[in-house]
Amino acid sequence: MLDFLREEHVNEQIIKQIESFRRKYPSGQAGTGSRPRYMYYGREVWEQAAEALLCGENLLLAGSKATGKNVLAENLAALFGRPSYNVSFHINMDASFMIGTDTFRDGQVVFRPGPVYQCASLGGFCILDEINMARNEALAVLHSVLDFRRIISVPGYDTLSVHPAARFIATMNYGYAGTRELNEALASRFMIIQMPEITQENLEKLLRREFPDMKKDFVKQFAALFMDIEKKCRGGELTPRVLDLRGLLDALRLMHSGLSPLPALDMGITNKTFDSYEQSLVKDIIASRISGKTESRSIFI
Amino acid sequence: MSSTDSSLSVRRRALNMIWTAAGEYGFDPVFIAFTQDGQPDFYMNSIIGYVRKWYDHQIMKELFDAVENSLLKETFDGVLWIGLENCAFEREVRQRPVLSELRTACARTFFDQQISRSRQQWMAQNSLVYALQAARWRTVLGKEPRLANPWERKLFSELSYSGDWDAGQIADHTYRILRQFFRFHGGSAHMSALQRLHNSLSRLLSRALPSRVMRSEDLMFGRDPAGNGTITARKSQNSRLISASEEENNRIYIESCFGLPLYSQSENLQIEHLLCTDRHAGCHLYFTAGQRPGGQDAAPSDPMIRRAVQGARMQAQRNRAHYQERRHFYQNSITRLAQQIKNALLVYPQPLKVPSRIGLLAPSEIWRAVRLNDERIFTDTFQNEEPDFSVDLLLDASASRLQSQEIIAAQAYVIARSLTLCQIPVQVCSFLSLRGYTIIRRYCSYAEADKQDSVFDYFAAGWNRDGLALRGCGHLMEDSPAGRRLLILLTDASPNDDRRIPPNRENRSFTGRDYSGDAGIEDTASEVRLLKKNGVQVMAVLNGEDGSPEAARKIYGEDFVRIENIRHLSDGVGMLLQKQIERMQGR
Ligand SMILES: Nc1ncnc2c1ncn2[C@@H]1O[C@H](COP(=O)(O)OP(=O)(O)OP(=O)(O)O)[C@@H](O)[C@H]1O
Ligand SMILES: [Mg+2]
Repeated sequence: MLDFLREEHVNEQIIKQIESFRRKYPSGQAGTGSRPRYMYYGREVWEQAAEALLCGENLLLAGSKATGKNVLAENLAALFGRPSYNVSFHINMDASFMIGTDTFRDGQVVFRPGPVYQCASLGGFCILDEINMARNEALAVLHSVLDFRRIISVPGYDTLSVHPAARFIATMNYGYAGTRELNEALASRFMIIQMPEITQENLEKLLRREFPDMKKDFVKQFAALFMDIEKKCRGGELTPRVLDLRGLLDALRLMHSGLSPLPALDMGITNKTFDSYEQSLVKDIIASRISGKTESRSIFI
Repeated sequence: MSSTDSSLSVRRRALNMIWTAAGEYGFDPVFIAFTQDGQPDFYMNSIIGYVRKWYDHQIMKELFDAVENSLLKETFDGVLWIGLENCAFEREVRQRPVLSELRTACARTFFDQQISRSRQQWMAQNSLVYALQAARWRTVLGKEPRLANPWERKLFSELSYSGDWDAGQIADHTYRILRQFFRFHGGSAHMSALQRLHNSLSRLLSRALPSRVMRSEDLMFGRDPAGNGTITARKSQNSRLISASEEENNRIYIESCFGLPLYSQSENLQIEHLLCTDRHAGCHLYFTAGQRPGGQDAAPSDPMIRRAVQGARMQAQRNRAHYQERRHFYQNSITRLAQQIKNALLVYPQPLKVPSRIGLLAPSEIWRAVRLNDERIFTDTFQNEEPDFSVDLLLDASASRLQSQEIIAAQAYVIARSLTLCQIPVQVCSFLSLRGYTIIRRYCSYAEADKQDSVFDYFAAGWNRDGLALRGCGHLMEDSPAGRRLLILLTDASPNDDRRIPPNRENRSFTGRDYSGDAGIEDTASEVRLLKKNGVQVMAVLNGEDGSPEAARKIYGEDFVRIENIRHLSDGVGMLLQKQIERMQGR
């Protein structure tokens, strides 16, 4: 994992500090040091995030869809050698789910810890996914966990101090229906990173890693295709519906398993919008990069 | 989606192609490309974008401006883009392999497509650009360019702009080509003070109000019939600030190619004020008898005008040669047609009422006897030999008639001669439209029977705005010495002009329409109705395969004949005239 950061030319100073963090808090569990499935690309974000976590801060990753928020959060846990705990927020999420509830075991009422409690006691990295989907009442219990007090009080049980290696990384989406502004009290407890769209260079790296057998020319064209769409969204000519890296990756996976490029791209990207005019704009972009005659075989070696 | 919405989104889509290719948004491209069916031209719009992406904006803008302000804007634009396509392609394909395929596809469609009538007209008017384009696309398909003329071959070889050039090299090379091949002396160094003022003004304007300028143009936008694999300068350029100087350029061009005007400028303004209204607002009328400035033989200095004048002269020779070769046949046709007209006049004699000393008492004249001692207070009816009507021949001289110029000239001559033999006054005119001017060329007026053979000077070019031509012709017919007036059009019944019909709020047509297809037919039909209301009988002669009978019926009702074979000219026109004469008699 640290090697990856070096490949990405992340500041050596920061890497050193991470190494000493890991020495200070050796991971008890096996497997925490291994490379995750996806790697996050973006040196500056890496540096900002690592620096903040090293300073003991919690992180809020804010950005539009498929900008790698979850990938980065998971990567950070792996990088710091800590187990990760995932809390996915939705409207029914409440405090007892996060912290824990009483349950009946062996004839006794016992406390069954929730992910936040477990994470705080074992010094893990807790990923509060899509935190802006939750109701404020549910979030109130997190206040004391996230600020300088770093304690969890469970009524009827002892108060728990949060393990010094424990960190909280929240993610937050712009532009999805149902998302709301995070309230100020909560926002002030995080360091906030605005997640940028991936750069062309990084997207090419990602594609090469994801599809090692893709021909170089095509890596370039698909990456450029995504950037073309991104520019058109920024230019206000397209709604961001079709700007979806996940969709492009899905389409490429379909091509890898044999589907022709154009139908694959239609499913993964073009059809994300239901407006026929927008679809025609996206199709024009695709046509300027990928020939209709290309077969999926010829994309991969 | 309403048609307005869709034409807006078509334009927006074209702009997006350019922006995608340029990798840049929000700028207002000077050029935009459409195919002949009005769809955005994917390949050429991409090329426009790559030119923006690779080449210095300021230098390119100066180049475009210099061309824009020239007399031969359309030709130069065409020539310039043949060069630019080449270098932009070479440069971009290095990082975009699919572009070769798109280019080949573009070349194929260029040759495969069905050529529409308005496209034919465009080709005819821009034959040089068309020939060069065809040559370029042929080479793209791996064939020989096939240019016959060495001058064109040389020009074409100069248009292989290299992908290694920068904007400066492109501009220098282009100015050199325009100088060398067209004696053009524009370019940044020679820009007039006025042009420079215009440039700085328009720069200021577009910097200050980019989005507003966009929107107003959007409303004006419509299908550009000249399009198709060609890049057309934006229509909006018509309404730019400096259009006065351009207007002047157009007048010079028209005067040089078609002859001196019949009317003084102020008279002409008055006529335009009356006639260039509503559906023809913003258009011009130009009347000429074909007299060349500086005498018939003076050679114009401008090479394009010289080409046009030489072309016209060649055509006149061909017209006369064609007639000479078939002289016997045509003279027979004249005799036969004259005979038929005479018969019609005999069968339906024209009663002529003259004041007389005997006959029917005319009460309104009695005072003359009392006061003036004039005894001719009776009306006597003579069977008059001299018919009381005149005929006007109006020939469509637009580029769609290019294939039958000799025949049309001969037909007009035959009809005019026959009528003259019957002592019917004849006036012969032709019309075509160019750069917003509808030009009416008069070969002979009613009193100039001796000048009838000048109809062999007939040649075709440009568009045809039939409705406006009818108005102009109606104006000339006011000089008729006769009480009744007949108008015969030699036409293909397919009105087509590159200037649109302006928006009309009453008709809830907010964007205007192209002057072609149904809109052109409707307009022409309503002008015909108007003439009829003013006592002019209108009929049409259609040639061979030309034009659709449905359109002709919509415009002229039953009053047209189709001459499938030139041998039937006399009979066909004879019948048509008989019907009209009969009708005059009936009234
Ligand atoms: N900068 C990046 N580096 C690496 N992968 C990226 C990057 N940006 C996006 N991705 C890819 O995009 C996909 C989506 O990533 P992820 O799920 O982390 O996005 P997200 O921001 O959490 O999306 P959402 O807001 O929709 O949950 C993944 O396949 C990931 O590899
Ligand atoms: Mg996510």
